[in-house]
Amino acid sequence: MESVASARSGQRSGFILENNHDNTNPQPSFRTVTAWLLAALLALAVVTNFSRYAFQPFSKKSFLDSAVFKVPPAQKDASLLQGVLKPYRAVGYATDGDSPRIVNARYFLAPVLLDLDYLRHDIVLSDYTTPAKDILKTNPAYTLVAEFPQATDWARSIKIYRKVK
Amino acid sequence: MRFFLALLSFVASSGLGFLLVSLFWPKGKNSLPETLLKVVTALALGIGATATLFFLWLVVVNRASRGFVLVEVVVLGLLGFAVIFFNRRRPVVLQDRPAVTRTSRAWPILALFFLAVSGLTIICLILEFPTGAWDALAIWNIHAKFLASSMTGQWRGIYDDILVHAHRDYPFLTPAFFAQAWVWMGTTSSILPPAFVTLLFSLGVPLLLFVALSLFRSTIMGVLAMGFLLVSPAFLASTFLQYSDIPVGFFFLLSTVLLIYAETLNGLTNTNVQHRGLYALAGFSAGCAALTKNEGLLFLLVFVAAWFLQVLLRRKPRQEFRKGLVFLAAAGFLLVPLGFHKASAPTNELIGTQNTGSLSKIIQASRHEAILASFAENISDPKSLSLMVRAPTSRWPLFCGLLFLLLVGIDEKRLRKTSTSFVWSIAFFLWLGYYFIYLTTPSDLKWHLATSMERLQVQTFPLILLAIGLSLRRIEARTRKDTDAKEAP
Repeated sequence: MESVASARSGQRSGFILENNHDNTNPQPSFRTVTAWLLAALLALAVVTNFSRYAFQPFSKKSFLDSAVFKVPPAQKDASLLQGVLKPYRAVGYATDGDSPRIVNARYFLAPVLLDLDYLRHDIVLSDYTTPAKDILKTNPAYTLVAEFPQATDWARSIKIYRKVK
Repeated sequence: MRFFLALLSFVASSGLGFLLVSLFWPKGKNSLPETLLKVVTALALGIGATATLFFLWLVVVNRASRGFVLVEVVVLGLLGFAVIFFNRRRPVVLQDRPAVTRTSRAWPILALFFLAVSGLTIICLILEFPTGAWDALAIWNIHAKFLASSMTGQWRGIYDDILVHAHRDYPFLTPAFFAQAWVWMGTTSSILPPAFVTLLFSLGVPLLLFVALSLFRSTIMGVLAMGFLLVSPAFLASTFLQYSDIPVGFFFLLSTVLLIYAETLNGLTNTNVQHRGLYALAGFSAGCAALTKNEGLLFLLVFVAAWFLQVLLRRKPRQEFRKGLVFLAAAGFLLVPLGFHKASAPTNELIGTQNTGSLSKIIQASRHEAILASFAENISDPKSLSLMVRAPTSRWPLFCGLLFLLLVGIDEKRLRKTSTSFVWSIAFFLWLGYYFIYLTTPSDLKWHLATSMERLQVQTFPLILLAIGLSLRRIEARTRKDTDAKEAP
């Protein structure tokens, strides 16, 4: 039985959907039982997902100890470097790192732009995982400005050089 | 202290959203689903309005600073004044409201259970991956760091050639929102803003789906669709990546739901008052979709096309013209800053690299085959979650859902209703657009499909669940009166 509202809406707009004002004495149908079964299975899936993906982190650490409220070591390293790089908009970036390492450094040092074409810049961030590969170390055109032995994460190997004029 | 400041920034953004919604929402008493729809709309549009305001501040002042906080407070005050001033003059329209089908109380409790348990799961996943995944670092959050810079002109770094990998043309809604929260907090190191937005939208999408189907069909349908979305491995995988796919999917759903709601209220009204405010909110929402991801721009076009099609098929175009104008004006309000952003950024590579060679790609059968195979594979076996969490995912809920669809069946009468065909046509046209982009992509098709198909499915999944929910045959118990009416000659 369609309600008055539904009937009126049917005349004026095809958009109106279901309106059941009177739902007394409902009679369960096959489809209602199917819906209950599906709902029970979905509830089981929700609980399974919780136990599978959430239980592990909860058992490992307390909520308040979580990463959301702590300054991660990577961010602490970024703060160290930002202290030196703050006056610059863009600096050179000499690295032997792969794409994730470059993205990581660019993310943590933003808004300073790290330009892989480092020869264009007076200040160069040298990020070589193997110190022997550091081409600026022995280059007389560059002088060491800062290094970060106190860094605990990704900035441990980073040095900052300035081009000698 | 920083946590408190972050909280304040969220309160300010929510306040902006609530005032906007109060200004445009029809006056009168609301049912619980209508109130929930209002709340969800306010929170989401608050984020969109704050991000837009912050971007405009950057364009004018050229650097991020706490002066923005003052601007936000002033805008809040002005909006508050406008709400008081206009709402006093606005008449309360006495009319029927969409009545929610009464069902057993167990169903809303089940909905709450789904949301609470899945919410805990999502919180744990966010804590496990606090900086998100690749695109969060390489694109979205790096944009946010530039936008939050306090040095003059530094925010324009997002357009610099050096960041060629960072998709400089990508819209700014989520990055600008994170950036303004960081400005409030006085730091760019906190992951609280991205984590909060991720959680808000991840729970907002299933809640909105539940509310929409509760309003337009029944609570049972709402609970089932919401549960089905929450257990989907592809959806769960997208909740903690800190990408913009879930927010854009949310705005797809919100725009559609608001338009159907507006049309429903217009259908129920006893007077000739048209609820144009709701069309404006739907327009804001569609504008927010365009501000969130490039797919949102496609959505805006598709949405207007689908609406236009409905008007041509069933109505007199003249009657609908004003509603459309209100919708477009509201969306256009957000498209102006987006236009400025797009003009400053290089052209999107998918569009910029198109040439006559692209046409030959369209007729290559192997490309069609690869796209369809990837589509099917990502539906039956989405891999992101198991790859990220290194734990198996359950595929049985999908098969249970399919079996349920077969048992319940589609109602042809409902399928022909304007609202149902409207939602289906949006989903269809969107996928037609995505299909065309895949066909002509300048990137390696295999790589493109592998990196994006699952996320595109997540964007449109809530819309498709809404369409299915609207099309299914009645599943709630029939009243005796219903049965009598049916049996009567």
